[in-house]
Amino acid sequence: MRVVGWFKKDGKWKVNRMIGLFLVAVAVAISLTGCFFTPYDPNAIDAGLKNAAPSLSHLFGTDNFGRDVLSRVMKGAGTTFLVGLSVVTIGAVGGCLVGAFTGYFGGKADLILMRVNDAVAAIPSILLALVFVGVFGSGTVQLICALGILFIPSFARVVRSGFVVQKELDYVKNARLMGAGHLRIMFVHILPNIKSSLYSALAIGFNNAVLSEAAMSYLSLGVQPPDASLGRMLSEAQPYIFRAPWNAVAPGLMILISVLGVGLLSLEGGERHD
Amino acid sequence: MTDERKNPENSSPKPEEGSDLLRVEDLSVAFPLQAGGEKTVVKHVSFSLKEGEVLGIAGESGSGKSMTALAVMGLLPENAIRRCGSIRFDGQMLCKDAETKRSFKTVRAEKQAEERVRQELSGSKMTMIFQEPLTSLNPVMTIKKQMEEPLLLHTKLSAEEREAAVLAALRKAELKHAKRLLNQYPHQLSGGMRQRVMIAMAMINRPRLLICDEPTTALDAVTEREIVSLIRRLAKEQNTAVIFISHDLSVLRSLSDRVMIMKDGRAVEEGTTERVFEQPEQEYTKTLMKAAVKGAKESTEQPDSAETVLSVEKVSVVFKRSNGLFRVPELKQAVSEVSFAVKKGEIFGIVGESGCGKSTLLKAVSGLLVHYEGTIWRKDGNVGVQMVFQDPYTSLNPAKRVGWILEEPLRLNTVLTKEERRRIVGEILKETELPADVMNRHISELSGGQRQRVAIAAALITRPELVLLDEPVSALDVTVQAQILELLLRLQREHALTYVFVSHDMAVVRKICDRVMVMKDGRVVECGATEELFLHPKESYTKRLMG
Repeated sequence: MRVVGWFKKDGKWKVNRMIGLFLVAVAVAISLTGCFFTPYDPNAIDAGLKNAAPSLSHLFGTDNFGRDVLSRVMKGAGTTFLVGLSVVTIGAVGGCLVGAFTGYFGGKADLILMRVNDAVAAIPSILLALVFVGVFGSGTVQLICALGILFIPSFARVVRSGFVVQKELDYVKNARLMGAGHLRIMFVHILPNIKSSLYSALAIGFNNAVLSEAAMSYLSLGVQPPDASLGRMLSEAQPYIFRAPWNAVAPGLMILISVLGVGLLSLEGGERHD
Repeated sequence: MTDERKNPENSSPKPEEGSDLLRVEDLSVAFPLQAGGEKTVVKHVSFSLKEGEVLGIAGESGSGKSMTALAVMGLLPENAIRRCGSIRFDGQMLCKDAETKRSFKTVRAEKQAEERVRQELSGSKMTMIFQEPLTSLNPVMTIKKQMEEPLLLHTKLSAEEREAAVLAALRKAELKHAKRLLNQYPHQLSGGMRQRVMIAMAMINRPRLLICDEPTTALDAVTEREIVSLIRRLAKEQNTAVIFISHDLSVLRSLSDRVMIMKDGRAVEEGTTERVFEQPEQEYTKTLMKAAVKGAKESTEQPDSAETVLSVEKVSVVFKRSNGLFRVPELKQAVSEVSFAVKKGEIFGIVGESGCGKSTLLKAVSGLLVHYEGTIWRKDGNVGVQMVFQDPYTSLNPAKRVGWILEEPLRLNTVLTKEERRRIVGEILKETELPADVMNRHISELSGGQRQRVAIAAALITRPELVLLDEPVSALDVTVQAQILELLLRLQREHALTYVFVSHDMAVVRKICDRVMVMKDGRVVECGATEELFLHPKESYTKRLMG
């Protein structure tokens, strides 16, 4: 009953949610499979098959080094999703903490912290990532940390504005009269009420993270070659976009499926508590 | 016509006697439901209005009274469907019966024609004022700019003439310092002033029909009376017909020539005000009249030896309003040197206009506000005092289910197991006459009365001695109001509770309170036994407040 109830409300099927879940499921299934099994070794070079068109043996063709595109997408999707999810998690948790404290307590600490927030938001992300990578070296973990920190301000803003509105409502006063502490009020009472705006922020954040990963990897600051990631594959496909479009189509399709799926799911999440 | 519109000081042309200014026939409005099908909110309503006549429309929330008004103004929400019915204004057909079959093209042409007629009419011949003047005025436009808007759209006055007309309209609405007002913004005015500005703006083009949708509901008793008399005076002077929508029957009685009672989208009863109020024909009208809170509290035996539960001595609250990091904060004295004591089992009322400091005082008593001078002593110490707020929709967490909300005080203040908490929640639901299945619902799925019952249940679940009630029935319909007051009185008797009851509704206070304290500008004006105060008020302010 519960499962059906999730898809059906007031007798109306939630089409967005169904399609969204389907797309996300497809994306997750492909990347999970890629962890254990790929048709070919994603990094194996076959000099005789440079930029081969899709065929039965290579469903999405091969790239400039003769590597199987399908295998690389399957492997690379996992890396990209890992980066995207980790970045969003760091951003959301950090943003919730900063936003909740500044929004809830207000006052001078709020003013100062939000100006710091603005300052972080004002630094070009590539520049900060460059500094980060310069200090800590390049690699996937460093990339996640650098992007995660960069994503905190946007989440902090969303959460803070929600808290500023919610903390004035009487249910917060009521909770204080009941004897609830500030932390409990912030994270048990208020946070569920800004769920819907947080959902949209998460979806947009995930999509931005996937795209940022692509940008960083393009500058060789993120995932190191020869390992695959969707963003890396896209940037590698660029010089051959007309000669071998399949190089770009496969990772592009994968990004499209996941980004669209997450977007549709978050749409429904936002509608729920209206 | 053009000449007349050029000068708003000209009086509108006299129509022939007996002709109807507005005629609404067989109006039905429906909304499509998400699940398919539709919900009809206005069902076959017909009424007419003569020049200069005041029609009051009464009914509970959801009775379709606002939708009727919006349909007349042509302001129905996008997704509303006008099922059938015609609206005729001043002989002009505003919208025809939609039942008859017409081709798509004619329907579109008619829609465009209606749009044109409406643009011409609204703002000049037909105007409307809403409940909340803060949201119906544009917050980023000065008063002058907004008031000029109807003049710019419908007249050809020069800039100087416009300013003169705006000033005249503001003065007519009894606003002092009209000149200074011109360059102020809505948030700088009080609620009563904003509503006056709205009225001045609505009347600036000498409309022939003014629709007021609960214009006084957000205001306190004194301001409400002033606004009502202003509308009555202006309408009379300019011979404007008024449709006045309210759930407050006493306001309608004092204002309107004819009254229409609505229930569930139908016009239940219509007639002259005198007839409807003196000899109501329909059962529903009778219950509505009966539900209106009136009369004094029944026999109150106060044990003299009762112990004091709350004592407040010389409490003052000063607000600091800081406008930025480096500016010196402004000081505002909200409460000054207020003292009172409440005994066990007593219902103590605090009344006054909005902004008199009664809510601030209550906050200090509850412990929500800690920066005050003087002493507040509560018998049960820091925990234990509970509060019921005006709007249960904001005072109960909308993201949680009722069961969770009711369990939360127990979770925080006791060490009971989950089963024990559930049992207590079940008991309190029974006590507040709520069905057991509300536990699994969200607040948004309950009716207004049920919501307030949940709020009361949440306040009483830890069995406090002292309960603070901050306008607990002001947001409710009359019939629900009566039920909630009954519930509060019953619970108070059964559990020997002590209430501090803050309200601006004098009838409610008289019905429920043992003693009353009148406040103005943060000071106590008068304090005494309720009936004594109502029958023999000592201070002139108290007299004015009681009406």
